[in-house]
Order: sequence, then C-alpha cells, then structure tokens
Amino acid sequence: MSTGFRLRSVRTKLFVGVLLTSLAAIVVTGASLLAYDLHSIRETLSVDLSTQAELIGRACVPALQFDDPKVAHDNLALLDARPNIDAAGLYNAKGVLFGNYVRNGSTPEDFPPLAGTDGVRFSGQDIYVTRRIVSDKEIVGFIYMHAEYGLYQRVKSYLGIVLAVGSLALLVALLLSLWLQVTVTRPILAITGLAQQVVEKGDYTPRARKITDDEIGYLTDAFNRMLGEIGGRTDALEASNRELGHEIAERKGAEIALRNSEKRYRALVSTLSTVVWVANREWEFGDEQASWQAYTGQMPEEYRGKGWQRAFHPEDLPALQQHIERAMKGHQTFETELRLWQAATAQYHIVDLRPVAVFDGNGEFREWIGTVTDIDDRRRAEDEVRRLNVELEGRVRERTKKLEQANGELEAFSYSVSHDLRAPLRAMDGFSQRLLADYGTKLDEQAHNYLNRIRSGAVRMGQLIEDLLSLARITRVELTRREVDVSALVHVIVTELQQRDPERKVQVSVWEAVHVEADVRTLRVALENLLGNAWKFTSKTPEARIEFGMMQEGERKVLFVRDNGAGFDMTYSDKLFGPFQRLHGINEFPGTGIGLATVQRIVARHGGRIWCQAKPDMGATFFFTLKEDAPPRDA
Amino acid sequence: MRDPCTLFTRALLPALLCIGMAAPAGAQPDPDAVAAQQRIEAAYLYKFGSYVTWPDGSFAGADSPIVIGVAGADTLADDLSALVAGRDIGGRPVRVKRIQAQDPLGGIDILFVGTRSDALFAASRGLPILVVTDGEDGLQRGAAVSFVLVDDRVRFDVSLDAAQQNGLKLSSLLLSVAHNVSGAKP
Repeated sequence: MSTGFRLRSVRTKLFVGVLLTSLAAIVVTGASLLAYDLHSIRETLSVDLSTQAELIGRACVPALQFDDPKVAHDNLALLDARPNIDAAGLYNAKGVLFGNYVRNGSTPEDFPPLAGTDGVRFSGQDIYVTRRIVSDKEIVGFIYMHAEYGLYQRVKSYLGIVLAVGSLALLVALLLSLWLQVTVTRPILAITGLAQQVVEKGDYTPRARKITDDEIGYLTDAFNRMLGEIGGRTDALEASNRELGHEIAERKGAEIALRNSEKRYRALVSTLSTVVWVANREWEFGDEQASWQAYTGQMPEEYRGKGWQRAFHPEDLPALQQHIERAMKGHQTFETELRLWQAATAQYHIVDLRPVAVFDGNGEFREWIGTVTDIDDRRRAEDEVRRLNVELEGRVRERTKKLEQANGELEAFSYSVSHDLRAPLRAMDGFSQRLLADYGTKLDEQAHNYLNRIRSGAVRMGQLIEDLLSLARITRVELTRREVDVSALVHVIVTELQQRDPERKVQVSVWEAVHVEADVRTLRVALENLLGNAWKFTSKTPEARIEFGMMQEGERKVLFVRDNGAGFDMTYSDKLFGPFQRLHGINEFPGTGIGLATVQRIVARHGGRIWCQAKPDMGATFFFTLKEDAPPRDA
Repeated sequence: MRDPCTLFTRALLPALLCIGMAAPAGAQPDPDAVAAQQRIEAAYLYKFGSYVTWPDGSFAGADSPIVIGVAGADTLADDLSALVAGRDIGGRPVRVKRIQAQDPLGGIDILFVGTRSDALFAASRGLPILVVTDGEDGLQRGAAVSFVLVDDRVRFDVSLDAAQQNGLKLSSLLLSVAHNVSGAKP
C-alpha cells in the first residue's frame, strides 16, 4: 500500500517535474522573447518614426523657407501611406504650428505647444517623436509625429504564440514523461517490488531482472549484489548473535560468580581480625583504611600518604624501607615481621606484613594490597613451646638416664633372682629329696606327702621366677621382624608337647603355609604359651582337639589357636591377660598365671591385638594379630 | 563657428515675423508693407542659392563665394547685406554686389534686377546666373524667377526655360513651393 503510494508519487514527481521544467522554460523563454521583442520594436519604431520625421521635415524645408503652408500640408498628407501614424504637426522656427496632418477616422489631435528639442516619448499605446528641421545649419522648423505603438496587440499576439507553443511543448513533454516512465520507472518499480518482498519476507534469495543497460541497470546489478551481501551478512549476524547469546549467558554466570566471590571476599575481610590495607603504586595510603585505623589508632590524616609507616617501631623502619624499595623494583610480594603499634593494648605487637601487587585487566600494575596479621600471641606461644621443649628434653634425658640406671639395676636384679633366689629353692628341693631318700622309711605317709608338696612348691617357685624373668625379657628385648613360617613353628611346638606327654592323645590340626612378618623368638614364646594352654586345658577332655589357623580379613591376618577344652566364663575375659590372673584352680590346671600376660605383651610389642572367645566346658579360641589395625575392632 | 540658433533669432526670425505682421496689413501698398516685402524678397534671394545647381567651373574653388548682384534696389541690397553677413550656402560664403546697368556680370551667380531696364536681362542671357526680378511680367522679360504677391504673400514664379538657358538646374523642392512653374518639362 505504501509502495503503491510511493510509486505513484515517483511517477507523479517525474511527470510534474517534466511538465514544470517545460513550462518554466516556455514561460522564461516567452517572457524574455517578448521583452526583447518589445524592446526591439520600440527601438525600431522610434528609429523608423524619427527617420520618417526627418524625411518629412526635409521635404518641408522649402515650404517653411518660402512660407508655403499649402505645400507643407501636401507634404504632410503623404503620411497617408503610413497607416500607423495618427497625426503629424509642422512648426516654424518660432514654434508656431505651420501645418498639420490627422489620419482619417482617428481622434482629433491636440498638438502640443512645442518643446524645442529632439526626442522620442512613449506613452502606453502611443509613441511621440519630435525633431528639429535643419537646413544649412539653421533650424527652420520642427516636426512632431504621433504613431500608434500597438503594445497591447503585440503582447496579445505574443501571448497567443507562447500559449500555442507552450501547449505543443507540454504535449511533447507529456509524451516524453510517458516514455521516461516506461524506461525509468519500470525498472525502478521492479527493484522496489523486490525490495518490498525482501523487507516483508526477510528472504534475500530472489534477484531483480536487469531490463536496461543504463544507470538503472547498474543500480539493479548493485541491488542484486547488495542483496547477496546482505543475505551473507544476515546469516553471519545471526550466527554471531547466537554466539553472543551464549557468551552473554556465560558472562552473566561469570558475573554472578564474581559478585558472589566479591561478597564472600567482603564478608571475609570484614570478619578478618587481620588488617587489610590498600596503597597506591608509590606506597601511599588513600583515605579509606578502616581496619588499619582500628588497629593502629592512626587517624586518616596521620596515615595518609607515607604517614602509615610511623606506626611501625622506629627500629624496624630501615628494614621496612629496604623491603619496599626491593618490592617496587620487581612488583614482587614479600613477607616480613615487624613491630606495629596496637592501639588497644598500647604497645608494639609483632605482625606479619604481606603486600601483593595488583594488576588490572591489561596487565598494568595498579596498586598494592596487603595484610597485617598480628602474630604476637602466636610468637609468644611458640617461644613458650620452644622453652618447654628444651626443658622437656632435659627432663627426658634425665629420666632416660635414670631409667637406664633402673634397667641396669633390674638386670642385676634378674641375675640375682635367677641365681640368688634359685639357690635357696634348690636347697629346699635338694634337702627335701635327701629327706625322702635318707629318711623315707622313717617317715610316714603324711610326711612324704608334705615333703613332696614342698618339692613341687619349690619347682613352681622356680618356674614362676623363670616366667617372670621371661616376661621382663620380653618387655625389653629388641624385635627383629622377618617372614616366619608359622605353620612349621606350630608343628615343632606340638611335637615337643607330645614328647613331653607321650600318653596323651590329642587331635592337632595345623593350617599349612601360614606366613607372617614377625620376630621369630618372641612369636615362638607366644605360640608355646597359647598351644601349651590348649594342651593343658584339654587334658580332661575325652576327645581333645587343638586347631591352629589363620583368617585373612582384607589386609589383616588374624591367627588363632582353638581347643575344645575347659573353656571359661567370658565375664572374666578382661582379667585374663593380666599377670597372675587365673580362672581355674591351681589344682585343677597347673600354671603360674604369667603365660597370657606374656603373650599379650608380645602381641602388643608387635603392634597387634589379642582377644578370645570361650564358654565353660566348650573350649576357647584365642585370636591375635601381629600388626597395627587400621580400624579398631572389638572382640 | 556660429550657433545656428543665434543666427535664427537674430536675423531670420525677425524677417519671418515681419511677414506675419505684414500679411494682415491690407492690400494698399504702404511704405511699411513695401519695406517688409523687400526684406522677405531679400531673404528669399539668399535662400534660392540652396536650390540652384550651377554648371561645373562656375566657381574657382570649393569655398569660392556665391555672389548676389543687386541692381536698382538699394534697400533690398542693404537688407540682403545685413542678412548674409556671416552666413554661407553649402559651405560657400555669400557676397552682395550692387550692379549698375552697364556693369559686367562676370562672377555674378544670382542677379536681382529691380529696374525696368531690359539690358541686364539681355546681358545675363547665356551666363550661369540665376536672374530674379519682381512683377507679373518678370518671366516674359527673361527672368528665371519672378516675385509675385498672392493673397498679400510673397510668392514666386519660375521659368525653367530661362534657367536652362543659363545652364542652371533648379531643385524640385524649389519648384514645389513655386507659385507657377513655366517652361519645358523633361
């Protein structure tokens, strides 16, 4: 709709333009021609009339000279031959009308009293000419003529011509404009229609047809090229828009993250007991240094510029200056401990000063930002710890010395026990034996019984001493871990037990190829104890069974010794591993009560644990490990 | 060079004025009327020079004067002398010469005969002289131009034959204002 209007407008413009141009040309040409022609007619007429006057005047010279009005009249009457001359008057030298002529049918003339000079005067439709008549250098009279100028008629006829020519020209212009419309407007119309289609549908694929080979043809080509270009650009733009959309989304996400980060940062800074400061490139403080002000008590006018440095201990200033100079050269961060005035306690505190150079997005160095951390308390604590450590080390050394001394004493004690305590026992045993051997016949049954009991007590005492010494040794002995074939070891121990007690029939099952990392000597002691216990507590069981084996629980190897002997009540299991703890009567099962304590000590020295499961008359199982467990495990 | 206007006002205008005043003066010849008539005739005499073509060789040079001879009319001669003073005809100065009956006519170009004697007519015959007289019978007596009074106006008759006899050509303009023209037409 708007296109139609626009096109109509272009067509109209073209039409009106051509018409107006033609019209203007015609009017201007007509007007200038008319003006020129009127002017030239005036000139011609005035020259013509002047010449006429001159001629008539000359002809009238004799009439004037010889005073013959009749001849003058006759001469003037010749003017009948010139129909445009209305009237003429002849004046003598005195200026008196001498003869005159008035055209038939024209209005009677008012002959003017004569002005004595030559001249031509135009007045509307009329032209008036006055001339002197000269003969032999003498003015003999004057002639006056009045002719019709015919201005209006000329203008009228001129206008008629202009009108006719104008109409013709306009007609030609009309035809011309029609032709122009065909040759100029149609290709433009084609392009405009296409442009309309492109705008409405956003489809850049159609192309305008080139009709003419002139500027419009070039325009068509250019338009087609432009369409191609726009199509390409539009695609590129859409792709770019999509990318931009992604980028914006990403950036938005990044912005939110940044904002959150900044919020976190601000929250952190505000809760930080640390002082945070910002200085420009010249190490000068700006106005806003709230935490610095709070810590040092310096007012903005005090810390502004380089004033902040005065809050440090005067003795530390040279060091600070050195650090600053070095940092300014390389924009490098540093960390130093200085003494800074703390307003709250009114004394210098040791602080950790740590500045970092801040660069902007272009990698341009912008400012320094840094922290001041009060490490005074920490430093004091560290000093205290150091002091305590030194003291402790001294004490440890002292104790160790004492312990070594005590150990030595203990060792000596052990020997004295083994030798000194054993001697009286041997004496008791020996003399008891002599009594039985020498006086056995003289002694009654009762006495024999007592003597045997003395002897077995001595033996037990010896065993007890042996066990105690063993326990003590276990505690002190150095462990040497290496791989041990536990199964083989168990076989050896069981064989020994069988040899010592050949009548017993015990079903012993040993898992083969059980290997562990352990100290072989102490492990053997532990196994001897455990297997010995099993052997002992199955002595009253009809079908005695002893089992050795190992359970693999992940990395952990759990060894166990199981029997189907007397067992015990689990209520007392916690007392089981203490020395001298016995759950059975000494008469029921012999023992010193040191064995399990020794086993427990050996297992503990290996870093392992020992625990048990048992029921009275249902047997007992002892589990143990020889390495530290990662997770603690309850029995 | 003298201004024609000045000349006009000083000499010719008074002459014409006299004509105008003399005309209504009446038919009876009175001394004033006669004097006026003579002044007009003097003026006409002078003006005839403009309309006459003398034969070649009549003048010695281009600026040789035109000599007007006056016989038997002293008043007229006086008027004429006053009139022609400082004037010329076609570049030639004008001289006035009083002539007696027996005077030779050599060098005379225009001759006014105011006497009734016919000797001067005879003497001038064949010479390049325009002979002027006055009276109704002037032409019969042999003059080429003769002044006549018509309705109290000074007019003149012309005899082409007489002029032709003396080898003169008269301008048709002169003839157009003549009262009567006699003689052969070509």
